[in-house]
Amino acid sequence: MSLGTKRLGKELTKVLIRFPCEQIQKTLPPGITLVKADDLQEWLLDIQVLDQNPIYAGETYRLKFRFGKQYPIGITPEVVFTKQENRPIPMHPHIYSNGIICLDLLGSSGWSPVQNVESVCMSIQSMLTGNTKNHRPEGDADFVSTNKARPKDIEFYYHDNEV
Amino acid sequence: MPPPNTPEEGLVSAPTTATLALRPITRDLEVTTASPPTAAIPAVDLRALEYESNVDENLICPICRVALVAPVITNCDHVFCQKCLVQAHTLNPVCPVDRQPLLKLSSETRSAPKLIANQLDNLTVRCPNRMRGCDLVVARSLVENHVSRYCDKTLVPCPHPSCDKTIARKDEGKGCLHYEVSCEFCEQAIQKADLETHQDMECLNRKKDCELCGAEYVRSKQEEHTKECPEVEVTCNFAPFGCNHKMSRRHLEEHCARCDYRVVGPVGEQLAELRAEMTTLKEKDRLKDRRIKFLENRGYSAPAATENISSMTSLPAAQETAPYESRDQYFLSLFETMESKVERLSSALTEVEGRHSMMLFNETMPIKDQLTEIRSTLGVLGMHVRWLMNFRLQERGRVLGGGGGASSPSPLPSAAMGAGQESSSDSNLPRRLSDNMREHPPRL
Repeated sequence: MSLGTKRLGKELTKVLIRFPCEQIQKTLPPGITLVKADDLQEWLLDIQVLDQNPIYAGETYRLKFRFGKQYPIGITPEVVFTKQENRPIPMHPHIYSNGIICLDLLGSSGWSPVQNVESVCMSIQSMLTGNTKNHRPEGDADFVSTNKARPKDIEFYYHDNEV
Repeated sequence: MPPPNTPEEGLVSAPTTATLALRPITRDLEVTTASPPTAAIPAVDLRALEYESNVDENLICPICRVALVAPVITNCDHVFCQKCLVQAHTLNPVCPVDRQPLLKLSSETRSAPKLIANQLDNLTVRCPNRMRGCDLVVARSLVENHVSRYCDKTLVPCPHPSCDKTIARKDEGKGCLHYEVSCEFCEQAIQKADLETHQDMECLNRKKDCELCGAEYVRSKQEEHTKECPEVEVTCNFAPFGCNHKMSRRHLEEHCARCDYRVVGPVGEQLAELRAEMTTLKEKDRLKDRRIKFLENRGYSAPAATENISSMTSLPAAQETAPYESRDQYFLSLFETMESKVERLSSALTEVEGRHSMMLFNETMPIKDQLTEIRSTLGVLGMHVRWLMNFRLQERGRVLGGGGGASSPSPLPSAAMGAGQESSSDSNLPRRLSDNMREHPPRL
C-alpha cells in the first residue's frame, strides 16, 4: 500500500467512515459536498459559493480530483472543473472554459503535501468568492483549442494576486 | 505473501518500495538527528496501526495524516514524520506548511521534543494481528515488542525446513501444518493451519442447532455448549450423598432448593473435609514414623565420628528402647551398627597409617640431607688430604732434586716436561692441583 492510498484512505475515513452519511455535511465545510469517491484515484466534489456574489449565486460547480500514486507527495493532484448538466464551468479570469484552473496551489511549485482535498476546495471556493470580473482569461478560446497538455504540466505565469 | 504488518518476515521480504528508495536519505538524517536506529526498519508499520481512540489533531502529521512516526521539527517549528518530511523535501526543499526554505534537512531540522514523543508513545493502538484474533490494545511504544515477541497470532516462518509458508506463532510447535485436510462439516479441502479459523468463522455448515435447547452454536465448540446447555441432563448436586435424581440443567437450581438431601449436604461436605484432613494426617504420621526409624537405625554413626567411646557405650541402651517390630529387624540393625563400626575403624586405621608414613617421611628427609652434607664434607676433607700429600711429595722431590745437582736436568724427557712445567709456574702449582681434584672428586 503506497503512501497515497493510505493518506487518501485517511481523508476518506475522515469524511465518510467515521461519520455516517447524513453527517458528512457537518465534517466538510459548508458549500462543499462529496459526490463520488469510489476509488482512491478520482474523486468528484460539488462546490457552491455561499455569499451573495452575483456571478455565482445559485450555481453548483463540479470539481474533479485525480490523485497520483504518491499523493500527497510527488505529483500534484489534478484538479479541474467538469461540465455537466446543471454543473457549468464558473466564470473567472483564471478558469478556462475547459475547466482548467490557473491557481498556484495546483502547480508543482505551489503544491505542498500538507494540502488536502478539503483545503483545495476551500481555496477554490474563496477564489470564486473574491472575484468580481465576470469574464474568461485572455486567450481562452486559443488555449482551449490548442491545449493538449495535462493541467499540471502547463506552465502558468502567476501574475495576478487580486483575485 | 504476508500482510504488510507482519513483523520479521513481512518486513524483510516486503518493505514498500518507498521505504527502499528512501533508505539512504533516511540514514543521513538519522545520524544527525540521532533518532533511534530501529525507527528506520520498524517491525510493525506504525502508520498502518489502528488507533484505539481519536488522535489529537496536534499529534497528526500534516503530510500523511496519521499520528506522527519518528517526529522531527523544523527550524520554523513545524512537526512532521521524519519519513514524510524527507520525501517532501526531495521534491521541494521548503517547509511544507509555511514554504520557508529548508536547504539542508540535517541542519534545519532536529528530532521533536521528548514531550511529543512521549505523547505518541502513550497512544493506545490495536494489535495489528487483530484480523487473526488478537484483541490486545496496547501503548504504541509497546506494540512492536508485543508483535515481534509475544503475540500468538504473529505469523512466523513454518518450522518445517522445506516449507516456505508462514504460520501463527501458537502453532509453531506443531510442525508443518500446510497440508490439506477436509473440513468435517462442509467437506471442503482446507489447509490444516487454517482449519480452526475456517470452522469458527467461515465454514457454511459451522453452525448447528442444539437438539435439546434449540440454540445455535459453532460445531467445533460443541463441548463448551454441552457444559452450559440448559436442557442437558445433569445429576443432582447432592448426588455424592445419595440423591439419584436426574434432571435438565434448567431445573437443577429448583431441584436443589427442595432436594431431600440438601440437609445432608453441608454435613456431608464437612465430613468429606474431615476425611480428607484425616488422610493427610495419616500420611504425615506414616512419614514421621519412617523418619524416626531411619534416625534410630543410623543415628549413632553421626555423633560417633566425633566422640567414639561415649557413643559406643550408649549404643545398647538406645537399642533396648527402640521399638523394633521383629527380632530379625533387631539383629539386622545390630549388624548394621557393627558394620558401620567396622567401617569407622577401618577408616581410622587408614588415617593412622597415613599419619605414620607421613611422620616417617618427615623424619627421613633431614637424615638424608645430613647424610649428603656429611658426604660432601668428607669429599672436601679427602681433597685437602690429597693436596697436602702432593704438596708434601713435591716438597720432598724438590729437596731431593736440589740435592742431586742443579747442572743436570732430569734424566727422563717425559719427567723433564712435567718438571719443567712445574718449575716454571711454581706459584700456580697448588691451585691447579686442587682444580684438577675438583674435576674428579673422590668417591667415597
